Amino acid sequence: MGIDAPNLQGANLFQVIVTGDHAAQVQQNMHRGEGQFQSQLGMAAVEKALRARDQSDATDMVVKSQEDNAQFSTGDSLRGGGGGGGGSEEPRSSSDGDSFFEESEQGGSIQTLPSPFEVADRFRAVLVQGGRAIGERTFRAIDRRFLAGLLDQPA
Amino acid sequence: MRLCLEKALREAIALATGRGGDMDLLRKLLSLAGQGCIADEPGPGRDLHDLVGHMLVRISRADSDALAESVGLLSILVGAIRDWRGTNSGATIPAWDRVPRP
Repeated sequence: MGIDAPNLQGANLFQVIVTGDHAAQVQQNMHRGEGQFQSQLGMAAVEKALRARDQSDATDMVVKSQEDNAQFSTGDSLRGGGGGGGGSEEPRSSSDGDSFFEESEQGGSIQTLPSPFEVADRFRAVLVQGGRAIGERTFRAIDRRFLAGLLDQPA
Repeated sequence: MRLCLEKALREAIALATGRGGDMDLLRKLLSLAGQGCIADEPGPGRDLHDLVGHMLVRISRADSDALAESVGLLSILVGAIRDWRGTNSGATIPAWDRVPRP
């Protein structure tokens, strides 16, 4: 039987051998880079363990992601990670992925308000004037997002 | 949301008055509250989102009057939500000083 003949399953043996050869070469190349891969894997495992430990510090609450231990990392990331704040900010670490911040960056930057008490008064006035419907709509949406966060699913 | 903001208010009061309190817990609670709100939501949800973000920024910057301001803002928010709930949902909310403290 010639080597370039079809086998019972319809595959071309010659192609099978060439592909196998190629796969062996790729595997050999992967072994060469194995050391680097192992070190990266180790770093990832250590980072994951640290994150898990950090997450477990919270006793009675659920936070989807945990900010790092830098003292003002939350504020720095809120100020846009160098995008829209002052010049003396720390750059935001890429691993500092709080969903609130990520969501806010998508939906608009979070920043300090010029007159926060006016906004708070407006919040109260809208709840009072809007009555049951507007409050229910608002709080139901918020509760749904909380539940989605607990289940770690998109709202 | 109400319980989260109430706990944040208790922490802010404790911190502002120097009677304990946990700054990190306060930040986590505000962050958690923020996770329930989205910026492009119209109405009270948007205001809540902006206010929580504002407090979080100022507290994280360690601005001198950030805690006092947060106590004021959180009081308004908690009061508004408690009023709305008591009026509209028919729920009985325990008085502020009767809520069990953890």
